[in-house]
Amino acid sequence: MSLLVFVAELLCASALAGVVGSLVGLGGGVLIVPLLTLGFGMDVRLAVGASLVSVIATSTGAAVAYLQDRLVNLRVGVLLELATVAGALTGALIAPHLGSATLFLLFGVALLLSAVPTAAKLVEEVPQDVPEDPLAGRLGLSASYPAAEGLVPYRVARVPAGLGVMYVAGVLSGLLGIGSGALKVLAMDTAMRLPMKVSTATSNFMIGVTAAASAGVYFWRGDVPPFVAAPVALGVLAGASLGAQLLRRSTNRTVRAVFLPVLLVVSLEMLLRGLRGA
Amino acid sequence: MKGSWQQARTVEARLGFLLLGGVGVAASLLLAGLASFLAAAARDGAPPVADLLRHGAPLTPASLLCGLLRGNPTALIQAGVLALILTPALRVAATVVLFAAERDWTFVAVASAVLGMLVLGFSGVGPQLPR
Repeated sequence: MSLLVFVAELLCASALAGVVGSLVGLGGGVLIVPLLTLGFGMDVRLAVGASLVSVIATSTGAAVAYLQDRLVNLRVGVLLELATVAGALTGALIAPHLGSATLFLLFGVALLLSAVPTAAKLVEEVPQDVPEDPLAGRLGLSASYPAAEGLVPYRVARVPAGLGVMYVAGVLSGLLGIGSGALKVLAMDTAMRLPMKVSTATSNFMIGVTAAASAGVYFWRGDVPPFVAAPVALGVLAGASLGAQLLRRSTNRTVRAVFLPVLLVVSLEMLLRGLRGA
Repeated sequence: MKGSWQQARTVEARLGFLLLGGVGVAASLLLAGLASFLAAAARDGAPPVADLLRHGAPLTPASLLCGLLRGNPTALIQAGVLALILTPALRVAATVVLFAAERDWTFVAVASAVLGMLVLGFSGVGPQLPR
């Protein structure tokens, strides 16, 4: 394969991953590692390094839009970053000790997990009668967010459980080069009972910081291949902003219906690779 | 209280600007590095694609700076990756300042701890692990 074709293919495939990722709200990172390993035959750890870089790029780009809507709960975000960043460093440091078969298996499982919130909206838009965690009261975590009908107040439950799930999300992010959006949703929507808009925006705010923590470790170790990371990050960034434009004009229900089988096939493929010993 | 809300909103807007700026700088560096790499490959002959898919040697700030001064395409891209990694860290640093302005010392401590961990990871905590 000639160099120019290789770079062009990487650019186009990453742009496609960016479009699809932003349409279904998964951020693209979850597609980059399968693309690079299954599609381009890359070593899984290098693929993770390249993917982390593109995760930072898209989440930072998207964070700007969320900031302006004032949906991010800064206190919740920073508090949970304690757990995700600690997890991300753990993940980045133990990654070299795990064989690539283990990484493939873990990735397959994580991918299946991320299909769950894609398949069904499992959570209420604004949960009612939430018992406030005393810790949340002491830290002033409960807040309100602006909506069409005015400020919507909400309370925050089960902070320790949220921190625990977030740590696991961080470890997976550092190991697999993904944003771990599904686990973050589990922590914030299901455990802490945050309104969906707030948890989506806050999770996005945290993904960049989490990925940056482990990307630093991969970077200095020489595990971010420059000529793969550059086209992938540029492609995903372009694709994600295109996807955000498209999202304004189309419902994402059909997109989800199309995307779900793809997600299942890719996760089975990753699991198979792991079972065959990579 | 209302004053501090207004203030917070302006700060948020500036932070958004900072984030966009960081991504913009990073993307330009990545693009410049990639373009000059492809130009050099067209001029001097392209390296085999397999060479691009290998683990690199561990990087040091000194080796990166040297490469940048020589205008090395690899170093340009690495500087872009570095700018991307530093942008969220800068965001956390700005959050520390934001909480300090609100005199919320608990959250100054929380955000500083997050920043501390980021710096720790970035400064290459832990041994150079074997591959």
